[in-house]
Amino acid sequence: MIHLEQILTNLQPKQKARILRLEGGFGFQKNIRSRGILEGKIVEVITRQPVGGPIVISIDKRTTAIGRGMASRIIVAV
Amino acid sequence: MDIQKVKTILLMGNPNVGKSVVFSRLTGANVIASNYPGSTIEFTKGLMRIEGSKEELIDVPGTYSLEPTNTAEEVAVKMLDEGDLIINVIDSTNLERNLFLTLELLQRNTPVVVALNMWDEAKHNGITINPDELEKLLGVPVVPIVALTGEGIKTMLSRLKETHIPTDISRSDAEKWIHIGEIIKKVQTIEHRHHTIWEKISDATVKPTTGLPIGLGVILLTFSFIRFIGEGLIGHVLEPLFDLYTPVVMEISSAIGPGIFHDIIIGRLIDGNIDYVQSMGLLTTGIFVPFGMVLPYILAFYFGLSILEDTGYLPRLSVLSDTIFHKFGLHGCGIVSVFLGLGCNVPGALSTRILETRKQRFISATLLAISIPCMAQIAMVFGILGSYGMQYVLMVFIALITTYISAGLLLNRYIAGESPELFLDIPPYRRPYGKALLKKTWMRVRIFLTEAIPFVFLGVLFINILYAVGIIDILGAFFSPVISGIWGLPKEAAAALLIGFLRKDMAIGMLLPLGMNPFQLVIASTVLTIYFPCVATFAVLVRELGIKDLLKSVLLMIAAAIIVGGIMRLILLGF
Repeated sequence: MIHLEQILTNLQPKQKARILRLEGGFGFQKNIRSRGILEGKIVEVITRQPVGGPIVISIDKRTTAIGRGMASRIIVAV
Repeated sequence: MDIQKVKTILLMGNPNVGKSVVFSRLTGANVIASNYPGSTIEFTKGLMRIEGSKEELIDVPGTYSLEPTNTAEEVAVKMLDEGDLIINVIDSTNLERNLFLTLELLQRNTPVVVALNMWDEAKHNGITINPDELEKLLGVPVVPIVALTGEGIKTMLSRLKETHIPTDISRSDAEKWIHIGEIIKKVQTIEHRHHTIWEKISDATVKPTTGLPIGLGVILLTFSFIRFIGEGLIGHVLEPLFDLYTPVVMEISSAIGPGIFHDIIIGRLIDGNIDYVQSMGLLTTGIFVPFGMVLPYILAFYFGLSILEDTGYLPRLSVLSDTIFHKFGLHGCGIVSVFLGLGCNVPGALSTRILETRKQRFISATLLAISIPCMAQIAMVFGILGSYGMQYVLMVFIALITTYISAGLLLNRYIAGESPELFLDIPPYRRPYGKALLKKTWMRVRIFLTEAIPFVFLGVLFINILYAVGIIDILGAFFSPVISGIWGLPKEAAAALLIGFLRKDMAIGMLLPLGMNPFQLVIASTVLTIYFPCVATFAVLVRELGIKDLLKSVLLMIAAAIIVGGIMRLILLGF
């Protein structure tokens, strides 16, 4: 199977992917991980709010809304 | 007498794990919300009894880790040093991510007991956790509980004395996550379950296509609920009470006889009768406006808001509104201040603390002070303008919404600083816990009672003295270029604007005897909202923003009042 690297913001609703890495400083990474967004987890996009609004993702059945700027620093494998 | 030092027990955990439900269960009616010294972070504190001894229980603001990202979390970390024991409340349906904070807590020198809350929900979701195994791995007592029903709470309390200072080894963050992974593998099994109906509803309420109409519906429903409850309370409880009260006041009135003393206690009689809105006496308007007109709506409002919060709907509204609030330099959590502020601006101003940066807090607080009328004001606007027709009430709200949006866009553009993005957990829908709802409603209503009553009395006293001494005329003449020249209002409105600083609801009542037309009333009501916050809100803003930023904010308010009032005059009254 070929894994395509993507940034999280490129995923469409209902699409699932595995989190590969977080790109950002120590504080950013810690903040993101403390909400359960961890490398290796499967993430599903629930919805994308229009006009650059946050995207809503689900990991382990937990829903989190995250701004696009932050989400664009989360790299996933489709 | 008990001479043993009262122990301080801290309830700590991630946000949305049901800490406040545990708190409500363990504490009695005597709960106080206090500010953490040197900050505006509010936390709740109460007494609880364990086996005859009294302990102090503190509901610490929720935090994901001990490395704070906002001021509320900062306080949570600071409070750690004051606790003798920590009850770490964990959401069992979400064990893995909750354990990060647990591992951090285990590295401190404070005894910990872990409470696996929402045990029933976890079971229902097909999640099985072995608490004994978890206890072995963590080295501190682990107790499954269901705070909503009280299951396991007794066991948890009985195990408080068993605990000790943790001996967990020190780990880096990365090591912690690896360790958590190992723990999860050993203690948790998850059975796959299909999407439940509630999960489907959950998704539908955050998707813009379905979520926005639902959101609008929920807001409309909430406000009709508030109106229904508020009117019900007035019609069935307060009006009958005041009907009994009126003859008593009339007796007192005739006993006192005319004079300045009568003016202060009873106020002016209108056609020989008491007019509760216009008389302006301590025992008439001073009692009626806060209790008879405003309190019922405040009660209904905060009860409704608590339901929206505790069911988990509010975070979804934050997500849906994030796009708009982002244009104002805020993010979706800004809607919380707006909602709280619609009840009373004081808790609204306090809630700006949940925003991360100074820029966000400044914008949020300034917009609140400028264009969010509190329930007291709303009730008065409805009461006074409603009799001329709902279109006039609508005009006030359209003016305020337009002001909020324009000021928001401008502030975002010209205030320096960062506007971080929304990063918000959306909890599953949950059944609210009655006692926690009532406690929350009561704590907020109590803010209104303690803030409103003294200022209403002070205002009544103040206005009667000012009238008696003739200061109102001087002020009216001084401010008439703005009041009459720009806003097209009679110069006597100066008195209302002055009292508006103490209580805005009372100020709107004072507009009645001035014989203004409905358009002038619309302008005056709007200007009263914008020009300055009431003194209680002002006091909070001093602490929240600091003097320098507050002065900036006040200048903006005055400018906004002059501009908006001027524009409305041109539109509604012409030149």
